[in-house]
Amino acid sequence: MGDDSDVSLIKKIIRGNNQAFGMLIDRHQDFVYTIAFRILKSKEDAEEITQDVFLKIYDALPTFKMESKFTTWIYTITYRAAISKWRKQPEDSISISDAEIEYTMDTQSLNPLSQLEEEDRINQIRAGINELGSNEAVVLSLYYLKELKIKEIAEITGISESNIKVHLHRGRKNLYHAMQHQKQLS
Amino acid sequence: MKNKNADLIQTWMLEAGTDRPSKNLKYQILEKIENKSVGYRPVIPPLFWKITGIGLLGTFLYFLLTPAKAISPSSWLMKYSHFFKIDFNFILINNTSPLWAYALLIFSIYVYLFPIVIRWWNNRLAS
Repeated sequence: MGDDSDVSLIKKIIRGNNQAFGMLIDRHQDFVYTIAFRILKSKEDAEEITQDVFLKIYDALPTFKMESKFTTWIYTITYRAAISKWRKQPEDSISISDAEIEYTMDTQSLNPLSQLEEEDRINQIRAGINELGSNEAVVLSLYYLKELKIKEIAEITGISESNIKVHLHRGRKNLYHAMQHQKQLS
Repeated sequence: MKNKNADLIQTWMLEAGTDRPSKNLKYQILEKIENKSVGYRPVIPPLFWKITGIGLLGTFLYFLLTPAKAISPSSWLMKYSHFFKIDFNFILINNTSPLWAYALLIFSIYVYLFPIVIRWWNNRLAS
C-alpha cells in the first residue's frame, strides 16, 4: 500500500477507504502547509487553510480527472485559498514571530553545538524566506522544492509565465539581500 | 556571479525545506471527515436497484402465480431452457417443482452477476 500512486489512492478513497485518505494527507500535507504558510506567514492561518484544502478535495475527489496531475490540482486549490484569505487580511496583521519560523530538524547525528548552529542557520534562511512577498516565496518554493517548470507554476498560480519569471528573479534577489542583512545582524 | 547566486539560493531553499504543520492536523481532518455525512453520489445508481428489485419480484411472482401446467414446452421459458440444454438431474430438484428450480437458477444468476456489475461500475466511475 505504501507504493500506491495518488491516482490509486484516490480510487480507494472514492470507494470509501478513509485510510487511503490518511495516506494522501501524509503525502501532501507538508507542502500544502508550506504554500499556505509562505503566503499567510501565520501558523494558525496556514493550518486552517491546510485543513480546508483537504476537506475541499475530499468532497471534490469524484470530480477529479484522473489523467491530470493531482499535485497541480491540490497546489492550485491551496494557492487560491491562501491568496484569498491573505487578500482579506489587513496589511499590518501580517507579521511573523520567531516561534512560528522555528525549525525542528532531525539532527540526531550532529553533536549538540553543530546541531544548534545548523538549526540557527536553517532558522535564518526561513526568516529570510518569510521576508519575501507571498508570490515570490511560493514561486521559489515550487521552483526549487518541487522542481516545477515555469509553465506549471503559471498554471497553479494563474500568473502569466513572464510574471512568474519576474517573481523568480525578484525572489532570488530579495532572499539574497535578506540573508546578507541577517549575516550583518548576527 | 549570477549563476553562483542562483546556486546559493537553491541550496538555501533546499536547506530550509518544507514547513511542517502540527502533528495532530491529520487526525483533525480525518475526524471532520468521519463526522461529516459525505455527499458522494451512490456508486450503484438507485435506478439499477429498482430494476433489479422489480425483476426479482416479477420473476418470483411469475413462477408463483403461473400454474405449472400453464407453462407448456412451447412457452418462452421452456424454449430458453432447452436452448441451454438444462437438465435437472439432482435429487433435490427432481423432487421439487421445476418452476422453483428455474426460479433458483435465475436468482443464482442475479447473485453471481451482482459483484461483477458492481466492480465494473466502480472501475467505470473511477476511470
